[in-house]
Amino acid sequence: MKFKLGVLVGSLGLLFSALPLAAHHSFAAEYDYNKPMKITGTVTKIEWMNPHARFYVDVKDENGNVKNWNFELGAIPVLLKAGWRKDSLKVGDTVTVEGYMAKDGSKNMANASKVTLPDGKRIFGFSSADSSQ
Amino acid sequence: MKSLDLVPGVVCLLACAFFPANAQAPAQAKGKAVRATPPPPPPGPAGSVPRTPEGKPDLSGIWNGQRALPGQPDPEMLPWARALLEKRATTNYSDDLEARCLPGGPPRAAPYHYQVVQTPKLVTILYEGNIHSYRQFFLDSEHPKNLKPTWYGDSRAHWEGDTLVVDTIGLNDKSWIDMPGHPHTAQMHVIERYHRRDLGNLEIQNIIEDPGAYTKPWVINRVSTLEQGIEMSEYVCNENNLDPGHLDFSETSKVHMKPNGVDPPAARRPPPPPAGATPQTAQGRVDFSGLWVLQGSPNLPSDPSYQPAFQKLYAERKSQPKSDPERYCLPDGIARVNSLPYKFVQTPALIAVLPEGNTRAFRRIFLDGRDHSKQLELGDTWSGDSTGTWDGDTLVVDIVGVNDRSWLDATGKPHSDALHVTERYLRPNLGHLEVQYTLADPKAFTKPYSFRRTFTLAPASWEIQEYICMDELMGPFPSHQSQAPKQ
Repeated sequence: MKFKLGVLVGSLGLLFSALPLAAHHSFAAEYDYNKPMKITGTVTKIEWMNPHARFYVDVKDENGNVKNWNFELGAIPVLLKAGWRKDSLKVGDTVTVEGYMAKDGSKNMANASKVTLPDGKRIFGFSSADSSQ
Repeated sequence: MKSLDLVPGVVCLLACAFFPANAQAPAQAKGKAVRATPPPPPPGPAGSVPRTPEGKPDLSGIWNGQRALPGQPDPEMLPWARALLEKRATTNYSDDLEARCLPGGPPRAAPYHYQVVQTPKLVTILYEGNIHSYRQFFLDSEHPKNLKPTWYGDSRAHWEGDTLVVDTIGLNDKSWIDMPGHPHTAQMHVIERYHRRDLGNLEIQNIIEDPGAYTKPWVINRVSTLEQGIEMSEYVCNENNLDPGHLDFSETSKVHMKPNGVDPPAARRPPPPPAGATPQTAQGRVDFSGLWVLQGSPNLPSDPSYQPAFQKLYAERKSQPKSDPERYCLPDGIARVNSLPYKFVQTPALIAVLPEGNTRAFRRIFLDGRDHSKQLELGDTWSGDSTGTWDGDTLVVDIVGVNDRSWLDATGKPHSDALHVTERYLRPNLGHLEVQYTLADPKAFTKPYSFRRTFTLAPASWEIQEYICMDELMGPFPSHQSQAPKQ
């Protein structure tokens, strides 16, 4: 488990205050609610950075071809408040990501609204998808 | 533990965020984006209102971002303003300058933490994010005449009973009043009424008067709750901001960052400082409060003794002076200063250091006896974590937790994330501030490096001027000019 249980339990209350507060840009300006997506793959890189954290996941299709996806998370202060830390995701983790595709047509680029960790825990991405901000 | 997405309240809150019963969002059309204002938070912790020694409510603390209360009426708008509001919805709010990491400006409420630092004559608001900057409310004084329009305007405050009333004018017309994009003109006059209802709940009534855009005053009631669970972090929105290239329909997407960055504003040279004795706080400590200006060059007086890899990095940076992060509106980090003034606001619990220059990224020196653990849990930052202890009349500040991206000065002197800075602050008299720095960085230096700086007190007529670096780096913004009809 990548999250300390205490942190997660402790942040449940915080979730209520932090949940809808996410991004510095409009969700709808960059991502498309009409294009939900869900993939499972292996984390290849985490960018714990401003203005939004990002992570990258290698996904194998039915033909065995691997594509690298780029996911946007929320702003670091919001992720921190929700219990995320710099090392919450690690390279090599198998994760399932649900989110919305980029609006500008970028393939394999999306906004992560939910991330399921290897142990089955689901955490919110706290990205702009959570609020339509 | 259950999956978080099965917690009904969370699901409800998500839904509420998408479909709020909040009149401030523009009318929802099928297939059209609706930018909702978030639902009000659950109440903050119970308890009585803390009070200052003068008997006023003490608003100090870290507060969660202001949220509008539900069910408030729509404002009555002039046609041009209504049309612009609707246009912003149809273009998915792409022209929101907040996505360009420019300030919201009052009365817009960022969703991030903010901290109130209160003294009898000055109340300062420190914003965690967007932008990581500050506002000042000057008590019992009058607006200067001939104000130049700025993002934050000029704020004067007074107490009406237990309510702090803040009057702001001198605002530019670039900011949005809220996330749905209500516009305003430079005629806007904002009155904020801050009332700490109890320990954990701060009520803020915003009264917006703008005859250029609204037919009558518009009242927005908001609330913030006290944050007790987590320290405030540092949100540097403009670092790596790739979003402008992906924002669709946007006029402002056509605006690009100036490729070589921007030059910092020219230094203001103060007259010789006043003579007088070192001021003391009510607690008998040296009071470092004041507006301070560096004497001499902001660059380090010599080169630290570098490890080979960092010597190489230094040589590379010296050949590329335009890659200085300060030119791209990133914070100076720790140990670096520039020639613009710095204001120190001291309370028993902390000193807030408010720079005029660059990104206005404040730093806090904690005097409450804490160690570094609370801040370091959140990761490293440009400004690190500063804790202060007293050695007689000297304030000794210990700083760790910095990232390795800042330069130690404009020549590109590098450091690593192992940098540990000790600052020794001395105010030998009214007009001088002397700081002795020791930089230890075992990854980057072969031995610790020490130097000294002197600052002088600016005259009482000086105040921090608003310099928003991102405005210069990204502007001008075509869609944000001449929106209101010409008079």
